[in-house]
Amino acid sequence: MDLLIQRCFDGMFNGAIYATLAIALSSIYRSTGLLNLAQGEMALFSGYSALVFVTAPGKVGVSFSLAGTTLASKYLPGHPWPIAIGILAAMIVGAVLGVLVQKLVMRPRILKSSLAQINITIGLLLLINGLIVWIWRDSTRAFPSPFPNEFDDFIGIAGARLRYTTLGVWFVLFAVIGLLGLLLTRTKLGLAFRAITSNESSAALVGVNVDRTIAIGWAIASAIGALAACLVAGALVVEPTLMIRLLIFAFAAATIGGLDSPAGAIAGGLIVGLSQSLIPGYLGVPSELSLLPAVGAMTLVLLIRPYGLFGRKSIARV
Amino acid sequence: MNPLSSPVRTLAVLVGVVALVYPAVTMTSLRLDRLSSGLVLIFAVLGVNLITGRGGLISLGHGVFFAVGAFAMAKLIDIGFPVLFAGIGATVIAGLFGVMLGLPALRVRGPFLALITFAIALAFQPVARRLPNLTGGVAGLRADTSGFDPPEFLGIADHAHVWRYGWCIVVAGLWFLAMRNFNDSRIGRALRATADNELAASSFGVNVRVVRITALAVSGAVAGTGGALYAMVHPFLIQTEFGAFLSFSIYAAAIVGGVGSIGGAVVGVLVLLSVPTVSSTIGLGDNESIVLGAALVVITFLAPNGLWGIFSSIERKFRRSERVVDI
Repeated sequence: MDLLIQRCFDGMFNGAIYATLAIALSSIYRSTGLLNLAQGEMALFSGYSALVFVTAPGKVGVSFSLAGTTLASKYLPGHPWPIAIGILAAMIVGAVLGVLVQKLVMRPRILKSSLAQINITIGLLLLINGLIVWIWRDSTRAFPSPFPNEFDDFIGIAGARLRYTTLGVWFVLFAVIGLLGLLLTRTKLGLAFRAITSNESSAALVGVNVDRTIAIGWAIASAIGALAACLVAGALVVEPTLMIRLLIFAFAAATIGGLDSPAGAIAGGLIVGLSQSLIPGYLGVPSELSLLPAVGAMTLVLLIRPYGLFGRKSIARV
Repeated sequence: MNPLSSPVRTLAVLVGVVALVYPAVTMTSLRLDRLSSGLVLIFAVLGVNLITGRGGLISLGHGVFFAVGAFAMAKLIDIGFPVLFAGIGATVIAGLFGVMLGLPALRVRGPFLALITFAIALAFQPVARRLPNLTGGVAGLRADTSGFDPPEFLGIADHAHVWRYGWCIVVAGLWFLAMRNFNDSRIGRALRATADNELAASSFGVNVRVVRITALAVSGAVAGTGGALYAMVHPFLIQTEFGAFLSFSIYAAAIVGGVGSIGGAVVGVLVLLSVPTVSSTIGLGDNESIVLGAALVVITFLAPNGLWGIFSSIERKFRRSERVVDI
């Protein structure tokens, strides 16, 4: 029994990370119809920059010194920063990166065909991943956790350990959803964003600055992605292949949840996260293969309910 | 179309023949095998070229079919198949994989299909690592093609690498012919129609399912042939070589070369082979994905039909006087 609860807690941690990233993915998908395969790498780039912000220059343990730390300590006051500030700064880096990507390559002309969209996002995935390996080398690095993450930082519930990190990521997830909800329903920008999501050309006709609003949408989504990368790196380590697997789980969560609501993202994230921790434990599937149930579930959902388990069916004229 | 119909074409054919023969004559065994093991990626690129260029279905997972072909080759030889039949068997098995993994393509559209193939590309390597019976697991697998030596009358008994290179070139030529014919066949034309407008195609009597399944089988099979030849020129196979980045590189090569025409596959694989040189020349070391990714983004902007599209528009200028209407 306590093992079951423990596995549920482990799954909940992953679920929250997937849900956070799924929110980033689905907000770009809703406004532009684009599945951003490069989202994970953009987030990872921001994650590495967080590490630069919080690391003092010089050798780190036995590995190479971290590129950029010397530069950062020269120009940033008070460097190395505490991890919370580092993560906020990384979210700003992520937002800038998002705007850059949107302004430079995601031109409206390109966004029309799904072939061009995939080309661009795969190109960016290769490019950014290559840059990360080039700048920070292909090695694993420790990443400070934003939450208390010592051995005994947990609440015991029926013999299982609910770690503070798990509570922390859920708190962050709800904060993100709450802020995003406020932004969408209480501000003019949110109104413009919703207008574009529902009908881009009509929104442009009534005076919404479509290009700028979409750029802001990219900034927000990339900042959320950066946050997810920092949270997962804080619980594990940071390495160049960290986000690409995570991205698939997040996409599975987003498609299962239906790509159109935060509640769907949470439900999808939980389904994927829990199945990832429960299926290997109880069905004897090796944990390396936990990608398979997620991919299978995503494919099934796309086949049977392409609008997701919780999404609304959209009706289009042909 | 007659390959010698214009000066540009004649020149291209001459350059092509020289470029194919030159490495066979000058290179050492090790270097030629390495060249061959890169060149065989052309089969996988050809598979993407068919399914994405003609069928409008985006496949980010062709490295999987390539890998399936390679491991199937090694395994079939292992259980006693002669090399030639093992190669054919590997092609068929990869074709069946193409059908199986392509089944979602019958219902799922556009970017979501790309997403599924993306996921499959990522899932392959961990799965292969856990299947030591089929792939050798972490230890890898050896394709023992030692019995496959050049026949006496060719007089190249001590040049087995040239023999292997020759097979790669000849099989590639056969597949190119087959692809050209497939594209002009009834199914090939129907495939193009389904890509342009699925509903219109089906109301003209095209059976979209049959057409797509056939195309996916052919597309998987050609990549599988590439894998089988890869196992011949690079006999030691290990799953870490067949990660997701192989699939993405194959896709990038297909797009950069141009998916509108099968000639684009040649250009694409040449680009892929030159990426390491370019990368180290401009000081990026062995970070090839920077160059490849940048090329993919730039080409998507500047030349939606790939490099081959640029070449053929130049070539068309030379032929303008003939008043040929190119359809």
